[in-house]
Amino acid sequence: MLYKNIVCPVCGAACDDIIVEYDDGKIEVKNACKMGNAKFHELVSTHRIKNPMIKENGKFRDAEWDEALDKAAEILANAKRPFIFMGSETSCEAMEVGLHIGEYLGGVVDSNATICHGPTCMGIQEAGLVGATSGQKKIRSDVTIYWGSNPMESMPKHMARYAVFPRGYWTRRGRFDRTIITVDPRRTPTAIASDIHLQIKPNTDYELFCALMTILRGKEPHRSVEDITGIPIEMMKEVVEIMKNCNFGSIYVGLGIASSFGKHRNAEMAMALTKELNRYAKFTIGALRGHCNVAGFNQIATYLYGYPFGLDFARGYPRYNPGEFTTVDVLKEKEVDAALVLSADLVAHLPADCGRYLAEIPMVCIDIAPCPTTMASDIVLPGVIDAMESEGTFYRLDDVPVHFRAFTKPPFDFTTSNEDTLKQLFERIKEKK
Amino acid sequence: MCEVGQNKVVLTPIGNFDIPVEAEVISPDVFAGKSLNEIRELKVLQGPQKHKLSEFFEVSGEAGKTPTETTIVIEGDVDRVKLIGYKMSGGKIVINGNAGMHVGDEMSGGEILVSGDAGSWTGMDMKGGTIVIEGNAKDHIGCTYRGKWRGMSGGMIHIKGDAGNNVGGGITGGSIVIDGNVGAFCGIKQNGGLTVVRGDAKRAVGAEMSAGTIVVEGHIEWFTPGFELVDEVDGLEINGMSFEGTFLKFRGDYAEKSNPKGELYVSKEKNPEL
Ligand code: SF4
Repeated sequence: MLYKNIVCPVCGAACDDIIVEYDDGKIEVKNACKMGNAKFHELVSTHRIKNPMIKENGKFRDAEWDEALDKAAEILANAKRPFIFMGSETSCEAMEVGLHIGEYLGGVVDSNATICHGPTCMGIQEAGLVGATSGQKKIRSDVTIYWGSNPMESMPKHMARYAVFPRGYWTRRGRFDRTIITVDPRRTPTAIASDIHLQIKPNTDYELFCALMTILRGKEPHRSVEDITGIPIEMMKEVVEIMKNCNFGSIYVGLGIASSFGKHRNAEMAMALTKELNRYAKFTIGALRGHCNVAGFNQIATYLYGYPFGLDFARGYPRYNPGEFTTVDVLKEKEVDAALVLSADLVAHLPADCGRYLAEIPMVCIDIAPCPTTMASDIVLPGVIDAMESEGTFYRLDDVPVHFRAFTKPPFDFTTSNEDTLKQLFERIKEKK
Repeated sequence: MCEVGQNKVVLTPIGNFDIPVEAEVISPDVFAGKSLNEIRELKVLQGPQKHKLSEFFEVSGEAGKTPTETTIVIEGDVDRVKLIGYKMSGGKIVINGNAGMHVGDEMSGGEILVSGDAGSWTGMDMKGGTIVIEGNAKDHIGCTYRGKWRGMSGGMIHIKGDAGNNVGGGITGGSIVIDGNVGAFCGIKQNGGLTVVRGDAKRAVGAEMSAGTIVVEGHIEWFTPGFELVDEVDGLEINGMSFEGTFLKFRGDYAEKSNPKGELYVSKEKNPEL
């Protein structure tokens, strides 16, 4: 069968133009990039987890759904302070249930932003966000700045579909109507494809933002900034002139600012610079989010509980303090004693101490394929692949909700979606606590 | 060891801190006028569960009638106990050991002495009183709550060792003195008050500052670009504290405002490149 307008469940672009031909265990994918293509092939992969598993004496055995679900509920209900991690390759609908479980149990609930663009969310809280949808940026933007991001490799269709090459009403000649600036310590493919590359020294983004702001306010930045960042002040002035004199500018920040030294301070300055530039031209900023629904958790956690990530429910009401209630911190300080991890290979992405602690405490994992996190878990529940086997909502990189449909079914019948799995789990938890 | 006497309550940790405990009740304001048994019954949080204070501490001594007359002595490490001295208005807390996060949050008076190290957010949003840490402190000392711009407004924090990042974030009044080194973003968004670093600073000192004073006696690795050299002074006298040597006086942060009033004094000798 041929399926059109399928949403790709991989990166934050959440491309909704994928064409899939899927029959008898064979799959053909059109319009997806390499990353997207690989994920669609998970459908026919031989290592798909199809049975619930329980670890006994260090070894996994297959289990009935009912038994595994019950044991999972027991682990969470018996915990003094459970830790719930909602990965970002699943629907908002599933994340919502996870948040409610966290509230019910008085635990800590977090999502991928905590190890990627969390600092960007914190920057928004400090400085505010001048945003626009990708469509607006596509049709209007004549200056595009990739700061600490490398879409050619991390969001392969971004330049082609949203930002650089497409022709828009005000940018009729596509790429030729836009000036592309990349700020990156490395000579990335994105930098090569740009008009200007500010090759800054690693971790000095904050100083460069400050210097640009100072120039924008008509002052000369302190000369030491040239040594610190490796960028001549004259070059900074030239870039500020380009920014001031454009019609519509778009800054796309990446992990180069959110996860380099300075973190949310970098993000805050990026937002403040954008805000300030609006005195001269229309300027917007947005993050190139890594996963298809990493923005979704921030959106729904904010509208349900007021904070974008790292929520603690110990007092019955949500509290927020990155550095205290966030994943790396609660694991490093051993502040939680059981974990539920959905659609995120957390163990592989955390500092070693945190991964080790996750392996020590009882952990329930919902995932589609074996990974370090499933290995470190005590209960593994088979995951459902969103946007292929179940329907729901993702928030795209520009915080636009995208509804996705399913074109096939999960290879088992005990659950229909990750949302369904979590709902069943929640019912069991309520029976026990 | 501290003698048990009048107006003095001694808490001796007995363990059970597998999950950290939130104990904002450990404050002279709460203890004052209470019997030992009432103090033992006070509720603390471990995760979402409420427990009695006596499940974590042996309690002895006698509380004073008023907060100012009450001294609390903690004999041992409480680095897994948060919020000690929360909102205290008077009296004294002595911690003979390491303290956890949020010691003296929002305190308005009295004294907290820690003989060991202190956790992050020590003296968050503090309004008055004194905190002295003999050892090192982690991040966000005297800083404000996430997303808020105005932090500590009065009182004094003295860290005798090193401190981490974001010291004095958003401080509008009072003073912070760090005898050792600091990490990055010391005095970020400072809007008043005094921040003193006797050792070295990593980066972004006084970033986004609009008013107040910062003195750095050591070396700054990466100077904040939005500061402008305005003067050079020999010896300094601020808030009754004197500083020897020649200081470069900068004004900033011009990245934050067009007419900032922040003053940053940096040792000339230690920063020849400036
Ligand atoms: S750019 Fe991202 S969303 Fe689009 S096809 Fe590639 S991986 Fe999928």
